[in-house]
Amino acid sequence: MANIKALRQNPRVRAQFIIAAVLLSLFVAMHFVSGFKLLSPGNVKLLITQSVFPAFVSWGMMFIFTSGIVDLSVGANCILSANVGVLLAQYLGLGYPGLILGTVLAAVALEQLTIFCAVTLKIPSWIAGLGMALVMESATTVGLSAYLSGTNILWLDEYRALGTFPAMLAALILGAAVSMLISDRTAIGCNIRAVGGSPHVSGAMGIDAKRTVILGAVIGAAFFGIGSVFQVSYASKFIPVAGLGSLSTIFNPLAVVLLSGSFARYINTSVGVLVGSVLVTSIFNMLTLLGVPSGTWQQILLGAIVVTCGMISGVHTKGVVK
Amino acid sequence: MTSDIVLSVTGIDKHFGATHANRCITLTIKRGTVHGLAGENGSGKSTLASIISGIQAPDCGVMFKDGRHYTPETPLGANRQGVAMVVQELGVIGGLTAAQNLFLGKMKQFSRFGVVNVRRLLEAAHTAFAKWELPEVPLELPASAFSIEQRKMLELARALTNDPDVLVLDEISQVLSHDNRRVLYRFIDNFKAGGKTILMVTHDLEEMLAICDEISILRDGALVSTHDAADLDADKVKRLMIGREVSGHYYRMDAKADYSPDIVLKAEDFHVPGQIERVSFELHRGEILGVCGLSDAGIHELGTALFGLAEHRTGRLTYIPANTELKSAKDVVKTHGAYLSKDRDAYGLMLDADIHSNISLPNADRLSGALGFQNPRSLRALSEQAMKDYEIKSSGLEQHTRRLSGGNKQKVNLSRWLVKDLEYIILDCPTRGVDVGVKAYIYGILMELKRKGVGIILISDELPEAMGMSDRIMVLKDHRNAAVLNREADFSEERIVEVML
Repeated sequence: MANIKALRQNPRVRAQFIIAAVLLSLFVAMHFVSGFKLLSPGNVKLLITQSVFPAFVSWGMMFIFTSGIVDLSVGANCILSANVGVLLAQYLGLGYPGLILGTVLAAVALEQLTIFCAVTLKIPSWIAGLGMALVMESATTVGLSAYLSGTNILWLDEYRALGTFPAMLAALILGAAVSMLISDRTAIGCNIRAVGGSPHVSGAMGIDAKRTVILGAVIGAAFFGIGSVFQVSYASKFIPVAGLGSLSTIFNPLAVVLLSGSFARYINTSVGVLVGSVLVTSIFNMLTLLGVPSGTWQQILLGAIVVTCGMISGVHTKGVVK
Repeated sequence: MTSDIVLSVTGIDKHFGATHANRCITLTIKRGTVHGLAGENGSGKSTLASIISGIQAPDCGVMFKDGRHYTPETPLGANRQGVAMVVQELGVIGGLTAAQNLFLGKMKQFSRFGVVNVRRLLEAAHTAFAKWELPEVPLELPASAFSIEQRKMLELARALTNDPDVLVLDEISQVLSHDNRRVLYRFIDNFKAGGKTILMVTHDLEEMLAICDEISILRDGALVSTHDAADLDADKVKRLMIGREVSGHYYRMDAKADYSPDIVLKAEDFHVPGQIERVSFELHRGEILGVCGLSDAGIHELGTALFGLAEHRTGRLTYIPANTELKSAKDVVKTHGAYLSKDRDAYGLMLDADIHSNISLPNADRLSGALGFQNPRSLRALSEQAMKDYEIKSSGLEQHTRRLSGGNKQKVNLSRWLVKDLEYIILDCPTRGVDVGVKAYIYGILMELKRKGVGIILISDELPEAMGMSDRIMVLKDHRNAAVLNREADFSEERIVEVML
């Protein structure tokens, strides 16, 4: 009894209860606005399924951004690595191992290229990321056009079990657990935050900053790869884009990362990513249910959500956020 | 048989560009002693300490520890050979918890298959504080939530987790308040009693003479001499440091409070939740109002809040001559007010900018034309004048501020405000980390400001300083104004400590 009283008086626990209550009210309100369709059993399955990709990309971004690297090639990386996985599984007959390992290893290798440009060649990471995004987008389009003679869309007709509902739900839960474990309970998770916090101090404590950034990128890219596997299994394709169109792929995850970061004082960031992914997906789902056009108004709202999340994440920051 | 000498350095030389920071220094440090390094700002004390701790590599020279060749290439290498250091600038990572900061880089001992056992980590962190009777900080909170004193204690505890037999403390007591200094002194006694050695850099000569067994004096990067502390007094140390006779008195000599009856600033029911509890006071023209208190009394928070940087502030702060309420830092600057933070490096200076940028920043608006355009020539002239007037030792206006010694950094910090026509100034520990020469210089400036009728709020962790310079002292206890003491009647250390406690 005394423990429960102490918990109630804990400001963090109180804030968690308030956040949970606000979220619940928000979902109920959206359910009401959507004509009682949002939380129908069929739609909940859809929400969970569609939350998997933004959640995994957000977890990956969390590891990379925390180490001090701002990588904007994530979307292009996911598209190219997913297509590598489909190619290996479907067209070269390597099945599930080809799909999973091919996608994850490609994502890790591509991310390492970006990190090489940023860390070893000392190019500011956001510039390196933009450059690599252009390279990856072009490589995907040119490579697929050459391989498929004319069209550039690879279809995954088989090996799609991972894109079904129970597997997607399990992926969300396991993803959150693994992200939390690595981020909060491992030495590498601690080192990533240390290097992002102060390379000088962490260096003086014997932490190899370069190695830590590289390992952080390996972990982050593994999340991108796994997210891409689920996405391509669910949607059966990952259409290549050009002219930095891949950036729009990461707007949802970016909103999720900002949102989870803004509540990090109260909710574990990995759990925040999980909740944020479902929330952002639900907002778009509600808009679709309301018949809001996806190419225009939904994108305007997406921009507004990213800006709002950015504002919320800066609430506790003194001074100018750059 | 264990030798008496734990560490010896021979012929240590170090350059930073054109600056010759250490000149062929040779000294020995005895086991189980506290060895002080004294010298003016820029005399090479911190450089020598950082070479011994593996932070810097010497250009030439050799070191021996326990009779063996000692070559620490990194701080970690020094730790492995039994040497640890608490640096002058703060070195904790805000995003990590206290426990994680404590064992950063040493997590393997708590890990199995890469997964950290948090319970064991917290237990070890608790033990690290308890072993040396240091005040424990909240172990599961991020270090960004800590005060400067808590962060310093965390750094000390972190250094001790290496179980060093030589501990280098670089100006650690400068950020500590009265009560935490006592904790530090008790720790030093315990550490020494265990046969371990401390190399201590401090500008507080009274503290150095009281604590150290031997004192080495550096001047212009070279070792002047090493003495038994018992053979020295403060005047002798000053003379050796500066190379000439210096006055024994820093502080004002008058015993009476002396200020105008005109009020400059008036605070009424000044309140910041959890930091300041309904504090009211008046600051007069030409008055130095000292503010003292224990570490958690809220004295530094009061300075931040008065300058308009605290959130959720209530109550009223008024600039009386214009009957203007001061709600933000902008209002303070507009009414010819200024504020110097205790944490000079974090909140005072732009360390990676040059001296010119630092000096011209608060004056840029004033020197702008009607359309907001700045005249680079007048800004530069102002910076040059400030450098000259306040005797800032540097290689020029373009020198990075980070490269300056502590005293010269503080001169830059002060001068950029003092070149303005001030009505009042809030100073939070203005002599923190500066040597006796600069200290005397700053006190001289305060007296000059007082003569000009500037109202000064002097927040200080050092009672002798507060008593030596103030007309009145406001003592805060538990975030409240516990008493206001007058120079002619109440100024004694016993009386102030009695109110503090």
